[in-house]
Amino acid sequence: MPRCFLYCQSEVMRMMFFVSFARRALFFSPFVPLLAACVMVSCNRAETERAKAFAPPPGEPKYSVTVRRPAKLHSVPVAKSGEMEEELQVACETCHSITEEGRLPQRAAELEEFHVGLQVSHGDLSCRSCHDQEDARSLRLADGRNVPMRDAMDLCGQCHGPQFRDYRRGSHGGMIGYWDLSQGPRVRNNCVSCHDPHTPAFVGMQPVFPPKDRDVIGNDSQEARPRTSSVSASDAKATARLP
Amino acid sequence: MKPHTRRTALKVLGGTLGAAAFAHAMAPLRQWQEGQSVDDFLQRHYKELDREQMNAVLRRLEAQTEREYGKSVSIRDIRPMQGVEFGYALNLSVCIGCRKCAEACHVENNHDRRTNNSYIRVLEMEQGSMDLEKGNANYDHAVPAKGKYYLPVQCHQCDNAPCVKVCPVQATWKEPDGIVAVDYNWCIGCRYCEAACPYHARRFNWTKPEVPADEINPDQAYLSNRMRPQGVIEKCTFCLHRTREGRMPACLEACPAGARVFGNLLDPDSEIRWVLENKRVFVLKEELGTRPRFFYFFDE
Repeated sequence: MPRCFLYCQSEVMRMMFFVSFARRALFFSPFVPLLAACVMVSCNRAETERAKAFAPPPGEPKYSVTVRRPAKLHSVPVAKSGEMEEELQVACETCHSITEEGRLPQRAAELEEFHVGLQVSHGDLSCRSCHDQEDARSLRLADGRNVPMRDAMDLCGQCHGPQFRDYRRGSHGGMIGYWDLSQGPRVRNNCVSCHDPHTPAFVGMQPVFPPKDRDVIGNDSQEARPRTSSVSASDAKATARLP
Repeated sequence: MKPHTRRTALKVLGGTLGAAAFAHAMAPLRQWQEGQSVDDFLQRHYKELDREQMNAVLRRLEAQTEREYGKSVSIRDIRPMQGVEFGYALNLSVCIGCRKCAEACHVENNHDRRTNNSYIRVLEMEQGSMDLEKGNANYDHAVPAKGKYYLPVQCHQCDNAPCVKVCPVQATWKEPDGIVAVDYNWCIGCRYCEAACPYHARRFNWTKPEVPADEINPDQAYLSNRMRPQGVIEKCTFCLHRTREGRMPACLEACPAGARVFGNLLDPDSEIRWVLENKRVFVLKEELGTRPRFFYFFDE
């Protein structure tokens, strides 16, 4: 609308502006269907483009996920001997082929004579919670079935449901390989890869190098070494700065 | 001939000082002659290079790496996958702060050995507190320590990234698969993005990175882990030279506790989607509105 329209005081003048404007707009009338067609086509294209953006991810999974199985135990360490303090390994069958399968003890300490140095720290569990009474070579599931030792994951999952569910969904446990299974395989850990069944708490470790920031001792020279921090609160206050 | 006056003497002195100052100011150009070629100087922005020009750039960079570091590498230009938007999640109930992710990043991305640079910083935080100001990245004792939890921080590839908004030359931008990329040859090294990032995820190369030839990772990409020149910004790229071909990032594979989850947010069956839909998930500094693609979650 031309600006002078706004300054028109009388209704008649405004009406005249409308009419003249409409007359000018009439010039475009043949092009209106064409314009409508263009708008419809672009709307459709936008829709199909939007649909393509949410298309399913690349391809069907062609490659498999392999779960590492625990290694088969053939022997256990029983003592240290010799000048180099080597661990003496005794094959399981040495004893378990000749002794009759007796009853499992109540506590691991009763096995100290044969399974030297066996530490068990798994909540309140006893040996019989997992091991089969009669057959030393297999584990006993909660529903009474026996499984070989290498399929321990089934047994772990029976009590540790939330962790097993997280594991199945890919949120627990390490893996290497491909996130996109249509391009390559994946290898996953099993429970025993990280958690020793007798002392399953995840073992701590010494961390890798800290960054050599500019506000550490020695600044950014060749001799820079990280500011070592003890766990006490006062030290934490002294060293806590986001570099 | 007019006798020399005090005025002429001062003019000559001023002129001499001015010329000396000009020569001193131009002195850095002498160093520039050694480091850069004309092709380097005239190279255009990544987004403006066509296929031929890109290949020429890659060959030139490979030759340069061979000359300067003594290692023959292969640098590729890997484009984003269709229908993929990357997401990354980290399980804080499980992370023990061993920094093996930072070490894997250091090795995979050819970081400067002298400064132990890495895109990942692991903060040791007090249990019960989310105060990032009190996070300590320089701890050096056995982990996990009692009363602490560990928070690894790297570039979050934000949807509303402050670094992208402040770059005066648009050397950093958000790619279609969610990764915020940096063109090292276009960056002018002003460090505005480093100041703008609320997570301190961007690293500046104060010196030329030094990496022994036998430790260089030869599988490189233009936008991620090729050898960076001095004076440019770099940051985590979700290992795009691996993830754009379907592989997991190096930090995820190195984690001994299995705390990291990576995948395609558009795939309803992916692990990352399950975590976001079923776990107690949060992001850092949500109130800033950066909308990160890196999520943290707890198991309980």
